[in-house]
Amino acid sequence: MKFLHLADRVLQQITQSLNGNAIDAFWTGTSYLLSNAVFQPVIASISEFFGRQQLLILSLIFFTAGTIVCAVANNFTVMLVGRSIQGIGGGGILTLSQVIFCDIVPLRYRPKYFAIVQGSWAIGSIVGPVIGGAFVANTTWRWCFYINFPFCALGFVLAIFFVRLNAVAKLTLAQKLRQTDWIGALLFLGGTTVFLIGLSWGGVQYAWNSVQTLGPLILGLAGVAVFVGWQLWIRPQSLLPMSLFYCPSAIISFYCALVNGLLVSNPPSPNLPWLTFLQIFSALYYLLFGYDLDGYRESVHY
Amino acid sequence: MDIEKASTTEEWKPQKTEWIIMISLSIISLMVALDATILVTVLPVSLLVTDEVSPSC
Repeated sequence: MKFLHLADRVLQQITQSLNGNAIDAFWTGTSYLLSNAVFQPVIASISEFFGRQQLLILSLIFFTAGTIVCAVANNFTVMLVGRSIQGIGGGGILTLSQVIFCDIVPLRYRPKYFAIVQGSWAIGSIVGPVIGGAFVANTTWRWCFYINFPFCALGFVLAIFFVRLNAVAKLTLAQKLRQTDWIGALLFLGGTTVFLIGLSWGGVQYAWNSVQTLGPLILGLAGVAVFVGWQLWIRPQSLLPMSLFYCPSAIISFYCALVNGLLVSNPPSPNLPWLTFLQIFSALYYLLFGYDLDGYRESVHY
Repeated sequence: MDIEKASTTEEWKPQKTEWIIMISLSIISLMVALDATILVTVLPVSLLVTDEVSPSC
């Protein structure tokens, strides 16, 4: 409870120093999650042709660039742009770590060895709020971003020299560009982003039954529906193969990932019905983790 | 992937290269986890405390 209180001061301090309100503070977190969530399948898909290592380095570039923008931000517009860019990089790193693990570790041994990455997540998640609180208590919130720089530098060295994979598709650039499902990526990014924006607005910035909330929700769902149609009928080399939903076990594991996201991120609270939207948000966020099951499916077929 | 096909036999043990990749990925993941939680996990609490938002639902 104490560290939550400490860490809470980070956002209060940022909010005051950048002349923002609670909505801006809310979007400081949400913009990151949003770009993080929607870019994951796209980045994983592109890495199929352009190389895991290459996309991992690109994700690190995004993450570092976003961190720089946040660290020097003087108002919330800049901060939110920075957080969105960071989110793309963070999502890429998250999904590529899992995809690379699937590449190098056989199915049966993945739970055992993926625990190393899970352990990192556990440590980072527990230590993060404590460090954030300590920074705000003693220096400035900008240190919450400065702290990333040594890690970014180390990350580049590790990604360039050690994460060497020879699994890059042997195609020309033109072939790679043609193989990648750009229209699918656009439909998916557009649809999910608009939907999640509506979901984030609802009950916070605008009433649930307002045009501002319902408009993006409906438009976003329509976008996702078109995306699914595109995947099913037009494009076999797709971004998110619908064959992923090929058996009850697969669907149940996606469902578990969804429920997991819902419960892990936000403990239910009867006093705060508006938290529900955050819960749904996190569910969608975790739904995309299911994409990584693609790797499992592939190995099953071998 | 090719590596996967080759290694579905018997007991699999990570080689040096694989260990290095796995450790590298966990260090990079640590950075992202740290960054995500330095600000993000505290959001609901922050909104609750600042009390500037009056949810309409």
